[in-house]
Amino acid sequence: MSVQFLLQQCLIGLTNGALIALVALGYTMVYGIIGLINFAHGDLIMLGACLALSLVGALGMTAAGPATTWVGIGGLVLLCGLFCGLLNVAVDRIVYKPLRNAPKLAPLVSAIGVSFIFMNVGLFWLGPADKSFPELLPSTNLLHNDALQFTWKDLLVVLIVGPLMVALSVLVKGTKLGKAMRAVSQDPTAAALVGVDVDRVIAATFFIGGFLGGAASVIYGLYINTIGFQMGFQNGLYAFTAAVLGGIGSIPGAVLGGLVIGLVRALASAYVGERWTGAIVFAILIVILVFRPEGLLGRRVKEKV
Amino acid sequence: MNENAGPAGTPLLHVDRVTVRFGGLVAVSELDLDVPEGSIISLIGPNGAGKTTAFNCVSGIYAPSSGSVRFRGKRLERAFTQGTILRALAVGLLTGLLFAAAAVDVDRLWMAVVKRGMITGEPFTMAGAMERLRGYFRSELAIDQMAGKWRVVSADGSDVLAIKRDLGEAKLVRDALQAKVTARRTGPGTIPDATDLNQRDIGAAPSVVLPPVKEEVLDRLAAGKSRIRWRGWLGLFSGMLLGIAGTLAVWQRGRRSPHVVARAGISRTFQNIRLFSSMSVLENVLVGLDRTIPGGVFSMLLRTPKNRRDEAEARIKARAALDFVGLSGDANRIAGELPYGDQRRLEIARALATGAKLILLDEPAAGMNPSEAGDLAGLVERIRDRGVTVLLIEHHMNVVMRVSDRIAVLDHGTKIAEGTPAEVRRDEKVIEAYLGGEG
Repeated sequence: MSVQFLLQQCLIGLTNGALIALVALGYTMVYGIIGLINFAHGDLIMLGACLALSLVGALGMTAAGPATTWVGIGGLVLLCGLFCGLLNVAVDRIVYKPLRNAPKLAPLVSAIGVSFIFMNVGLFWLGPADKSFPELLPSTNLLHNDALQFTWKDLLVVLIVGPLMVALSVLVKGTKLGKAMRAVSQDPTAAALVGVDVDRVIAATFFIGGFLGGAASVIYGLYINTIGFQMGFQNGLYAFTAAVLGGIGSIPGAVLGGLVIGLVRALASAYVGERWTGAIVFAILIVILVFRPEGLLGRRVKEKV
Repeated sequence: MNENAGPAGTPLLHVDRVTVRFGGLVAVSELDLDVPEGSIISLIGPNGAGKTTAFNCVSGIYAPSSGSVRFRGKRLERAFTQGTILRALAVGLLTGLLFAAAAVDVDRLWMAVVKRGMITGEPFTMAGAMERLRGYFRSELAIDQMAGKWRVVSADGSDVLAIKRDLGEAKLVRDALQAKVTARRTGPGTIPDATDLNQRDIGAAPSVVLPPVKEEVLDRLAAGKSRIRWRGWLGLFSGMLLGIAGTLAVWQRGRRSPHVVARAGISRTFQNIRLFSSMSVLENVLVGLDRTIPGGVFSMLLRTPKNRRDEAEARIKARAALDFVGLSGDANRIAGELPYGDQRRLEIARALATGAKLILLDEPAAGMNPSEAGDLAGLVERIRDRGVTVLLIEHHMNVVMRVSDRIAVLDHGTKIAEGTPAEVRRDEKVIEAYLGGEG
């Protein structure tokens, strides 16, 4: 139980947390803009992982020379991102858009339905057994320190998650699309009345959330190395928890929540026991929500009159 | 006058016999209103008279139950484009396929096309699935496996004709029985066609012992082909019809959407202020200007020089709009923190920044003291002097009487009077319904 062991666990926790954060962003952005908890998001990512596995098989990618592998991984991230983004937009168009003015419960239950549909498509795609995702990256330690492991895989997570987060924050803070997104989330009617095409802004939000999820699915495959048709449920649950913990609707909140949950999971499984991690994560969630119901970075929402 | 102006004599906004009903409640009844370009028209009346409903109708939040709103002679609606047709066709095709799948019995189709392929142990291929799909529609006999034995079954799996231990033998029996069934298709009421020609050697029955099959079963199998196709086509057509009609109906209902109206040049403010309260004052105005910035997501993300220039230009315009309403000093404050009166003026700046030619102000002077209301009246006049037409709802009579060119009076959803301020002030009905209460 040395300091280095603690550092190692923190490192694992933060990399895992970055992955959770990427998924949590999809939940939080959609919630922020239309107030819907998109339960199908986790299963969307499972489908992204299915596509990634099929592509790896079809392209015959192996752990060859690092240069081609990295290009291939870049291509995978892009393709799976596009796939999940477009699928997310299609689901919004077909399922959620007709229910835009319906009571909140209607799209929520529909989202659960979409989740089941995705899960069954995944079952058909992958089959009932878990599939192993090929190890494309060598697991050599990049640090000259035997007690502290930082492998190519960890580097991969940092290399993909970092730029995506930067791009997202530029998009939301500095562009007209980001401004329109914030405007729609605060008052869709007023936004429409100053000429914002609300449906397009919502579609863009679904696309961005889906794209991040697609990227996350590739990283998940490469990092965890096992995918299965039920992976969407558990990962979705942790990511949703991260979004709530950070304050659902808040983008920095989702990132913070993801990192916190990743850290808690890693430390809990190292110091308490693997089987207690779920209990500890949700116990912490309950404690935080008791004292800060709006989440760590969420704003207290005043009830509209 | 600019090049977009309608034919001479056409008012900028023409509201024609607009009625809005909510269930049994009539909020606005047969309202006629003309707003000439460059004027200030006021809408007054007691609370609940339907003024805000009329505004919501003009700005596209509600669709009128009957009647029309025309701006420069045009109904402000989403255009009927190729995209609309394509979308309707795509949805129609999708629902058509779904209906067809249901009509040909989706359970059995799934079993015949997908499961049967898995049972015989071949890997799943698209070509194999397509072959089985065609077989299903030709109502061909097929082979599946149960409890280790091979069965010759009808395409939908409901008739079991023979059970064999050996796959090869089962295939021979299948071919022989298929030949019998196909021969029957030449009988009355069934049609042999091109799809039957690629059956395996019809005349020469192979040397296997055929199990006894009842005549009526063979007849049913022979007739199955035309029946299943007929049901498939019926499902496809009815589904497509329903899908296309439904898509068009939904499209029609959402035709008059607020952003289409806003982009055509009508903007508004609200009685209960609706700012983007956690954004800065400048950003609030910029949201209205954003559609004037060209460029897609990539130029935004890459921050190309042109994109930067466009955004800088938009910021200058936004500051000018803030200057106009007298908020230039507060550009970087959070909108929700501004005092009440300033929030109202910010809403006006946001509406003006969209480049609107007609601006609807819903009680801009609500909650103001007489001196502030006087300032506001000045602002409304300056808006008019910029060439922007104003339609105003207001309860402060001083403001209304000072700025209006014409006044329309609403009571219980009906227009009871219209005229110049002086005329309205003298009108008997108005005095009774509205001004009478104040003396």
